[in-house]
Amino acid sequence: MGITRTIIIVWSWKAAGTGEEVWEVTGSNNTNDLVVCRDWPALPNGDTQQLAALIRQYTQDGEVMLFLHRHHGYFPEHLKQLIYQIPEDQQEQLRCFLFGEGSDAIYLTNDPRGLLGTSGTFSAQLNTGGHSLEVSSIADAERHLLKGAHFDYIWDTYQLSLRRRIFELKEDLFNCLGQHLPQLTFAPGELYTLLSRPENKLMLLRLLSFVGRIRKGSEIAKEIRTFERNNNRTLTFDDCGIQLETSYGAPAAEQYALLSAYVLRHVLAKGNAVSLPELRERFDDLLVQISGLTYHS
Amino acid sequence: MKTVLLVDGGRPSPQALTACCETAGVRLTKITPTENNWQSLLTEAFGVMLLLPAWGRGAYLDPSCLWQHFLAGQYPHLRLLMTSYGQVDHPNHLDLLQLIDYDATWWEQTQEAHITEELPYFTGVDLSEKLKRFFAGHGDDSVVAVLSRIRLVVQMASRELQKMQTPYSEIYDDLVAPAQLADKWREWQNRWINYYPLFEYTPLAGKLEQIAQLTEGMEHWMLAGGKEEAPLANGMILQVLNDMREQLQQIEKQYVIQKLSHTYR
Repeated sequence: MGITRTIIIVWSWKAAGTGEEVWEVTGSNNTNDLVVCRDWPALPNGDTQQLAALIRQYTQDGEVMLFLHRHHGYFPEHLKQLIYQIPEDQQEQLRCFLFGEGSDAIYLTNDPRGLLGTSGTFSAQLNTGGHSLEVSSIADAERHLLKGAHFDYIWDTYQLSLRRRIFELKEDLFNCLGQHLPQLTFAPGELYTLLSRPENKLMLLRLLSFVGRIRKGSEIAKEIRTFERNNNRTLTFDDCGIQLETSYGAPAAEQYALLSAYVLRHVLAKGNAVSLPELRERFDDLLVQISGLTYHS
Repeated sequence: MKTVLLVDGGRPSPQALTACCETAGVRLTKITPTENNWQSLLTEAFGVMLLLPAWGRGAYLDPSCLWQHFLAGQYPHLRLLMTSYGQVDHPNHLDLLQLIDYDATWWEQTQEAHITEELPYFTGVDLSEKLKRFFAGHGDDSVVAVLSRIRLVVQMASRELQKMQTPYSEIYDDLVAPAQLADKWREWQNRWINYYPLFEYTPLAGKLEQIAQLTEGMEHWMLAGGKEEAPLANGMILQVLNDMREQLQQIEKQYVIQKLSHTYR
């Protein structure tokens, strides 16, 4: 028997969807896997005890991935609260994600290997080259069984997602700054001016998200979500520090804090001069603390 | 002046790289592997340079292993040169943040493809692994398995029609319709679309592009579930499937089977 893997998805299951159910997963390697569907909007008083109790129920037996739908009123503060309601020795077994507003891999409409369909279901219609194609992660609706390949894909994708997003931020940033080579050092404020150019707007927004400087509901928050939808990529970092701390330990959180402070003070403000080799070094110091693969081949 | 063919991997290549190369007596010529003409440039080239990791299909990709295999097999005296924003310890790697270090002597000391034994690690989807899955006999990633199932139905229907003179209405009812070719074709397309753009910056991109073009010729017939008799009767459908199979077999033989046997040797 392998370790239990549970995906808890808080989404609009009740209105027109399949309801609040627990689904098992087909495949010999997936006998302990579960998908738990709940339709619990965030409470106005911010109380997350009910959700924390549900998570604890599953972290006792294995690993849990929690997906909270943004339109249910969840935001990064909820993730932080939830992680600290889980016993310390089980915190490493939990990974939390906000999803919604269209760009995530978990949707079948974005990736046919995903899990979620439309309107609280596990099925969707895709249009490919003018033809309609039905995609579904359901193996057997009557027996509440989901397809193992879809479960594995989502599990693997999200398990790697944080390391991958940071790595991609680094590479994309150097794509942008590399156009100014052989210049390796930028005067105080010079990089901010450069990143403020219209063609670099997305990079600027991603860096602001990385350092936690995008307020929920703000104009720039909407702008980056639009970019995400248009590019079919998750580019934002919801509470990166807290996720790193709980998933990869204090050294990862410390390196994040160092890099984040450097970016905030020197790249996004008129702090000190920025040297590209130093910036690369700081990204590498963080990535080395985030164990595991960046991509599955 | 030496010529090095640059595969930019879908990323902006810094002007400073071109300037650095020119200072060392190397002219960078950008090539597009999906086009046909680039292979003719190899005979006069000093090497192929990859800007790594490449970017495609929403992920960073590592095509270096496929290029090394291609060059070692067909142009062993060319160099596979790699450039990136990473700090990589390898005689053929050029660090974009240290451009000043790469003078004419460095270029002379780079290794030819037949000498290079181990490639450095680049973060990215390993495309040689992806290619193996592309050809694997089963599993969700196998593209070839789905195509083989389609070809089997078409081959049987063609034989019935041409050799046994069975009326097509009968063949359609008994064999083609139950095989649900339209669904199988969509399944193939679904997998193909997920795969083939990943190889845009690899030496096999041109062959995959040809296969993509071949599929267009029979798409209408497949999506209609094989109802129309003429394209089957005149052999067009089976011919296209055979051509696709042949192209795929060539790729498999060159990059997957040979590579495995080399590894096991």
